[in-house]
Amino acid sequence: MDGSRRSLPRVVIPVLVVVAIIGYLVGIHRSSAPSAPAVGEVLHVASGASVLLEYPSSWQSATTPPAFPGLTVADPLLLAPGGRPAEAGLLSGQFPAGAPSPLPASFVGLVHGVPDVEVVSLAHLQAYRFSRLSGYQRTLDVYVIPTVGGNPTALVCYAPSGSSSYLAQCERIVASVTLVGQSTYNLSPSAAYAGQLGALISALNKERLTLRRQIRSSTAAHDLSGLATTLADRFASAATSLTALEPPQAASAAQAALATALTEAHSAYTALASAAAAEASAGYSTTETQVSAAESAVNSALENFALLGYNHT
Amino acid sequence: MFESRRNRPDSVPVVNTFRIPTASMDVDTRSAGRYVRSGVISMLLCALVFACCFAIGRAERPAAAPAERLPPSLPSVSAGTAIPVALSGAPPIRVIQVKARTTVTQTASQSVLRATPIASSLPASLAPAAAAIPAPAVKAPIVKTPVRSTPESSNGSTGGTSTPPAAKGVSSPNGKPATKSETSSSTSFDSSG
Repeated sequence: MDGSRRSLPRVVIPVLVVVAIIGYLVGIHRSSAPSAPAVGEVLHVASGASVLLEYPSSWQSATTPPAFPGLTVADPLLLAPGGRPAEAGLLSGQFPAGAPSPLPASFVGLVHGVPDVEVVSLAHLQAYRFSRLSGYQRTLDVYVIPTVGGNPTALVCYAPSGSSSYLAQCERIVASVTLVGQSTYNLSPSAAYAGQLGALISALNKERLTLRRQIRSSTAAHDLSGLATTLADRFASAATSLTALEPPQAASAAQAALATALTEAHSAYTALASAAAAEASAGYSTTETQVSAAESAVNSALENFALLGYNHT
Repeated sequence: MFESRRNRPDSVPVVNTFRIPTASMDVDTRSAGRYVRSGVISMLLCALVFACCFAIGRAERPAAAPAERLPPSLPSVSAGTAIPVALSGAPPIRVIQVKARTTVTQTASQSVLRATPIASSLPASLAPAAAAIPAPAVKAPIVKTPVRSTPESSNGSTGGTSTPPAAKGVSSPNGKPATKSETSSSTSFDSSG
């Protein structure tokens, strides 16, 4: 009897350990596939200009979308829990075509820093997801699906700050999206392309920094003119090298925008060199503005790659 | 022993052979009950431990990976080399020589204004020469010196190339000389962004 009593803990303790591990693992991995609708849930289908969305019966179509400055969409389709869009909902529509960034520049300008972006796989396609953007007293999840030769489809989930349940429901609706008459392409960032572009920009940045220091310390106008010409040439050669790169389709517009910005920087530094050579004081303020604007445009063009999911520093 | 039993009021004969099996059955029943109780307790313990660990795992899940979220198809870390999100900050462009020249231009312009009747009546083509007056000449109210083709000041300016800024500053569209703000804005280039 005593022996069996003593042997009981020896049996129970390992069993408890195993049960504890199983319980922990089940708890941490539960609901790993949220996109599947609940069994028996009645789904409705809403159709927009080029999208089909499956939504639960607890959500309804609505007509008055809330205003999100910078996030204007064409052909809006609005779904909201209980048909009340003031609180939470899903706004889908189309962004303007041909933009180098998934998000409109007007919206990016309102966001502090670079928004977090991920490429997520939906039921039938990929999308850029910009998560947990706080603003307008709400939390936004913005999904953007670029299309070949068409307007990117935008899906904006919004809910009051701190209310993640609506966003989770909205995400399940987004996961069911189907594009009608539109073809998409791979959005995953290319590591090889990132390596080439990163090396090119880093080299340009290094040379630019050196030349700008020399310009800063130059005392003669003709020295400044020569340095500005050299820097202009660096921007021009960077633009040429960039054009030689073969970008992924998702980054082709961003690359074109960057090449244009580099060419404009070349022009700005050339103008600075000319102003220095001519010693035209009135031209200096103009070229100062021109150089500053051109380099800001280069920065904006580089930010587009961060918005496409590329690693950034 | 038998005698003593016989003296009992309720003398029921009890035979040892009957008592032994009875005791054995009691022990078995108690033992079985203990085993059942232990089993039930063990199962409850297992359920309790499972529930606790499930709750711990569930509580830790949002921190690691948000619940009800679509998993990213590609982690951003696998996107290769980082691309600079902006050009690094560079020192502002500064043109020291032009600053000196512009300062002289401003001073000369002021001298033109002070030397009212004659200097203001000078033709525009002569105004650049007036602009080339060094600062000390301003104190002396002699306005004919510019016309006497006073040499360039010794601040490193080159001769012929100095005329366009002065001419532009003096003959600005509104007819006023170069203002102080214009002078200061053209002295340095801060395009570091």
